[in-house]
Amino acid sequence: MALLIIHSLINHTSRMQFLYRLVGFDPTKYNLRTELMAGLTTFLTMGYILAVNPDILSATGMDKGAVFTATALASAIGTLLIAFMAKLPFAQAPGMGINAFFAFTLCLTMGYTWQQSLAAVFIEGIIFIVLTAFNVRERIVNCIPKSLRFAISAGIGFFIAFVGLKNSGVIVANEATFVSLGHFNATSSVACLGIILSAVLMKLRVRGALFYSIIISR
Amino acid sequence: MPQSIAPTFLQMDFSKVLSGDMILTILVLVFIDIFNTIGTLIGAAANTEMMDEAGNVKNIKGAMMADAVATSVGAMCGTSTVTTFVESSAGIAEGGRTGMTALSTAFFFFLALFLSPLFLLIPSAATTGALVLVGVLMLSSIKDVDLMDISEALPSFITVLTMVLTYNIAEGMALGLISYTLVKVFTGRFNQVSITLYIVSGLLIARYVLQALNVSAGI
Repeated sequence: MALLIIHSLINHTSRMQFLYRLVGFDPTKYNLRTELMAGLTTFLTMGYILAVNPDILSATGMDKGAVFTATALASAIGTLLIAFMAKLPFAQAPGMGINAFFAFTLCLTMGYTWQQSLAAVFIEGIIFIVLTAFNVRERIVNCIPKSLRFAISAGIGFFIAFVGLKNSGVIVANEATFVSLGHFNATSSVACLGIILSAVLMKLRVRGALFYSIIISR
Repeated sequence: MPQSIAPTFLQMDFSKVLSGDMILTILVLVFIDIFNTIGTLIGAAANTEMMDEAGNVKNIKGAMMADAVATSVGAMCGTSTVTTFVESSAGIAEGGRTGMTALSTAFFFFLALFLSPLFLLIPSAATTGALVLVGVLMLSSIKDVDLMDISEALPSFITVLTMVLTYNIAEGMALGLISYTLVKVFTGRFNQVSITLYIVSGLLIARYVLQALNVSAGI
């Protein structure tokens, strides 16, 4: 047995196969390059959190550099956990919206120190672990009607497109109508070209279409 | 070298976690995170081989456990709630299906620790195209909703609409679930709502009522 383990550590191919099994990657069914490109694409679309999270959390008096390191480290660890525990292509990072709640509601409005608020987040995680272990979360998932599952998918599609349009200033706030089309400037024009480009690349069946659209639009 | 994590590492202060306000706050955090995670996992996996015929996502329990553990790990490192990112659907749209995709993303987060300025240069305008295209791809899920049956179509529509208008995945799901239960009950289709869904809908309604009472009481 020990020999076997040593052998797999020395032998490159079998070591890769061991890793493949750990993350649920079957080379006969999936393409390694596609998976790695997909991971990079996800990283590029969510990498903004590395800049935004320290900005938001430092409003509480937390050290910005430390929050940057904490953000990158927690994201890396969280995403590794998904890779090994779920073998699914999902990534984790400190959530947007919740970080604002943490900084502006918990700390600045309710007056808790950021250390006390971190303790609340830690306890939240523990409650989660318990709820998951006792299948409470699974029950909630199972009670969602099938039609709503597909609606959630479509809704998230609109949501994420809205996030993209808002972040690049294509859609802006408007006092009279809540939202409206922003004035075209360099940023929003690049964004609009990026939309057409990503559709063209995908239609031409370019592998990594979304990745190239991000890189070219840069 | 990365900037030191020492100022925020293991700085949690548990002296206030048992105060009334704090307990409520923790429950709010739990609510937001549960629905965000479930929504993201189900939403991004729909219409791929990660979801089976019955609409179940494989290994979803493992993913939720990873999400839960990461939240506590994040607090130890010094950041707010770590959760599953809806942006993962960009990688899934590119064909990512296994943990290998997550492994690749994690690698770049580790790399960012050392190369931070380089990676922070991606402007949001660059990702807009990809995010809009993800929206296009996810739109196709709507064809699996029976739009001819208004008791299915209305809750589905509310889910989609309020998710965008409230800028919040969890609220969209909550309002969708509540409207589903109400429409089914008032049309006499009691057996189409599971016991769990009755309980979940009741809790969600209670949450909105409490919220409204708090607001009117000026808290």
